[in-house]
Amino acid sequence: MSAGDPPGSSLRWTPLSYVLLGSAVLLLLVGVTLRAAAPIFVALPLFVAPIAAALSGPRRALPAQLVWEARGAESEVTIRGIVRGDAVSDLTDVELTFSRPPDLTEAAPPSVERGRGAVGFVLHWRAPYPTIAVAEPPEIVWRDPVGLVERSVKGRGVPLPIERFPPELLRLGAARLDRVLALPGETRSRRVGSAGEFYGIREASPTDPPRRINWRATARRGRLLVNEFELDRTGDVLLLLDVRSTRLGRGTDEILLGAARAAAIGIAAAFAREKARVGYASFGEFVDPVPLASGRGHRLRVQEAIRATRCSSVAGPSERCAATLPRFFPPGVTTILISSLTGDASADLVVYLRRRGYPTVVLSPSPAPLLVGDRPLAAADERLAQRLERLVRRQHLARVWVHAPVVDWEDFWSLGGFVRLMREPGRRRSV
Amino acid sequence: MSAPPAPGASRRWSLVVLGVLAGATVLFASASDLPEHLGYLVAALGLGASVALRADAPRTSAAGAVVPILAALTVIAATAPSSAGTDLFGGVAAIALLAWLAEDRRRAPGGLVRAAPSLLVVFVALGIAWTSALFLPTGSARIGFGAALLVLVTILVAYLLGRTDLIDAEPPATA
Repeated sequence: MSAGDPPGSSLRWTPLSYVLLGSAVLLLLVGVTLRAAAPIFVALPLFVAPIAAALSGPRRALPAQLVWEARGAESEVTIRGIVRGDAVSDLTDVELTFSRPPDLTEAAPPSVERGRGAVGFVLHWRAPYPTIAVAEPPEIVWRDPVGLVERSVKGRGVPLPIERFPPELLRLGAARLDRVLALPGETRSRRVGSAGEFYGIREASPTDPPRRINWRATARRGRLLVNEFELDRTGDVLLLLDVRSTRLGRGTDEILLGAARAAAIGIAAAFAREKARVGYASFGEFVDPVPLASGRGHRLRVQEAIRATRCSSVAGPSERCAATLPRFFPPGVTTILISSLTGDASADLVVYLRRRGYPTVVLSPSPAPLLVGDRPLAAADERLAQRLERLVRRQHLARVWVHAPVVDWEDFWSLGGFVRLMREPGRRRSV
Repeated sequence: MSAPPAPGASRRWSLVVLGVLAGATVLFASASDLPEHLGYLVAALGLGASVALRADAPRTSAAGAVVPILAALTVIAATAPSSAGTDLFGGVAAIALLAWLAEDRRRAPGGLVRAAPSLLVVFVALGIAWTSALFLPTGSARIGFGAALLVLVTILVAYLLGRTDLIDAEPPATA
């Protein structure tokens, strides 16, 4: 390996090389044992080929730069990328090995287009459920045309975050939140809306309500003009993820947590855009908090914390969560609890949160869509089982609804109901 | 990026190389001391199994696909009489095998052309060995000579397997 090359970029012999060399040794032994020349002549090319391949390839790691991006909407994930070399490098024999995040499935085989100076690729993946996966950069390896030697390419690129959550969450930032600071400061929202400090006058559009029309200005100009207002900075919000394992099993818990994390990222981003103070906590055995704050750095901190959240095999008592939260988050902060509400422990958590003074809204990813087809039942029985399951869940959610509004999240690609609930403070109920 | 070559052309080259490999293996088998049909059967079985394995196997297990044809060549070589023609057929069959490996449809088309420099080195090495053997007295002497050469190459290969850094070039010194 040369001094400037990254580790692992030195020449490597492939398994094929070892097979050929092993065969050559065997042929050599056969030739000597039987005193026959033919095996030795068959062995000779097999011996020489790996060395010739190593000497005819690039003598140092090829420099290359990976540029890639993820596109698509909802479940569709299309990743386009290109690996570019320098002016003199030939990338025709560069091989890309992609590693797909476990949350995603392959919708179509990857298409790779090769050229001398660049290799382009398109990956067609699918996200069955909302996800915040991270795609690791592909392994880029130069391999000789026969496939006997290989060498990693210098410069791999950066991991690609793939975030897929219901698009309605982009509108969630307009929801009004309560403040828990006595002096929230002078930080204003960048949003212009229908209430707050006067901002300016603009031409009326057909959707503007009559009460926003500035009649004096309209009379002066002779055309309809409306007032615009600079919205006050919105309040504070706490995202609480219940990551305790449930009776549904590890696999289902992981899928539900994946969807919950994606929703949490979308909710946090929507409120952070409006300069709201966002806090985050996950509760497994203990509470893992990120205190309330705002700003770009904090937004990244919350994102990192959400990404790092995993299912907890040890379930802490619900009271512990409610008792710990006041150490990090002032009571009164609007709390969005994301929990599958499977079992009584999750339902108890809502009760304890209310008692400690946290106005709570529950977003509950439903396990019902994941259980379809899991049972060895006939079609009619399966329909009946689903119906019964739905009734049981509805009854369970109704018990929780007594303490806090609950949104049953069954269609994982839609959160319209949740956004509507959040945008109407009257329906959210306070403590 | 340049447009990739037409798939038809790539497919045609694969078939040509496969034909050369099949021809060389069959010629080698016909020159061996195996019963006539058995020799052809061994060649056909080895080649057919390799082609089938290579068509189905994922890229990572491509090394396994080459084993049947190598086994067939070993069996044929072990039973082949020592003559200049047989030796040449054996060597050409081995080079045809390398050329067949270079024409992998799962990789960039034109692999044979890009592999030509290294295959040329192999071909020259075989040519030198074969012409040298022609001038040696028949019998054990030429086998001993060839074996000694190969033992030297084996030692060299074994050394290079552990010292790949010897092949790497140092980066140019900067001011």
